[in-house]
Amino acid sequence: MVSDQDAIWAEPPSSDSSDDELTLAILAELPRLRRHAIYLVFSHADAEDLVQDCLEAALRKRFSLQDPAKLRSWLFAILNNLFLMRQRSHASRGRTLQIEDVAESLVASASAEDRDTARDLARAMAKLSFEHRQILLLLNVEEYSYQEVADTLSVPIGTVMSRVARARRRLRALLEGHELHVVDAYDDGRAGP
Amino acid sequence: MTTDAPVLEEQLHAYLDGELPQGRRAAVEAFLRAHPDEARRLAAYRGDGAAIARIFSRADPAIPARRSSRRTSWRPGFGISWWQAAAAVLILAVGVGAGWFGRERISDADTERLAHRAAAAHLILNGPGAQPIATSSLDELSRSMSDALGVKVELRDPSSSGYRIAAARIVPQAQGRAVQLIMSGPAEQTITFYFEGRPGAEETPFRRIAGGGLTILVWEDDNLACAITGTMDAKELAEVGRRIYDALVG
Repeated sequence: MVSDQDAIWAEPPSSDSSDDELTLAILAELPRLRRHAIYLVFSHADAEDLVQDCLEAALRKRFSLQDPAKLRSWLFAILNNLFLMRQRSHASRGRTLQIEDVAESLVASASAEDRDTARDLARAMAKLSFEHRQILLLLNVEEYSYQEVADTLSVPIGTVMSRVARARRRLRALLEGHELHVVDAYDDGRAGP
Repeated sequence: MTTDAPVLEEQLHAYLDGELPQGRRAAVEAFLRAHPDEARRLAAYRGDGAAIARIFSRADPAIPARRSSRRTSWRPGFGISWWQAAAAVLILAVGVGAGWFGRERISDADTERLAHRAAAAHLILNGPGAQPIATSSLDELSRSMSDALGVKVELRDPSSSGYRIAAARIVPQAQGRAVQLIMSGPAEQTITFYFEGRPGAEETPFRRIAGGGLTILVWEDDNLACAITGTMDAKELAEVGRRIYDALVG
């Protein structure tokens, strides 16, 4: 859906006001993108790089956005594609998930009675494959519908449905299993759709 | 209403997510009443989803000052130590090139557009076409800046403000070129200054624009359109920005 192959910086045709509005609208989505990226890659630094790349790509091809009402899912789609490209590229293999860092920041911001849950959940989420983590974040945090998830990830809705079922089962198994241990690399075992 | 159609795993999840068509809900509810283990399992999923929403929805996880090591333009070696502060005596004096006409006062639309360009430059440190000004000399930096902006600029060492120039770069724009100074301060706080040449411009108050977790203050002064961008609130940014700007332009 969104390709990042055209790495040419298109000259903005002019500094017209609708362009400026779009730029501002893109900037307004940053906190949300950043939040999603942090919990997707489980590293503040990697998330920051990912969001920056996403922003660069978004501003570069902002003229290709057909429907401004779909700005958010357009941005999430770019973020997702960039993340997939990084996962596939040789350079990003073995990037480290900063599980305890992220867990601690989640624990610190959780209410007192939620701290244990936050820690267990952070560790379990980190142990999921990124597709499973991603779909749970999109549905529960971003409150996407199945259709929005399908559009954002460019997958059929049937894939969304089977993926969420698997993601929930795995998360539950991790939370119940007492088998949690720290993993130090992305779970690269993409389990298909 | 019941039906004999089997309840599939996906339907249980669709039910949980409010995605099941009205006509299938009763069947799923009947299935769950008849299978308490499945009902408990679904309740656990529901609880997990609620916990994810609660715990991972934190509005804005602390935004670390952006200082990624792979962004080389952050560190072209332009750093001025504190002890040099007293020695630097440069003034931002601006000469207007012959043939320039004074422009209209800055309008709100201009203010916003300038703020957007400044914010984009703040966020995109290595946009294609951006040229780092690799120098550790304030004279050279002032010359490069004057050349890019088309107005004469002389910079002083801003160290007395507690901030130093960590990097400088020329940012091409649709019309002309802009210059960005990346300022690094106590606790590694980062503020960027963004300048465009605006012959005829005189001093205006700061105007505040906020968006995307950033505060941007825009003003004009002595043939320049200026913006400062940072993550602090407007009051703090205005204080810090004024202090740095005053040190920078003398």
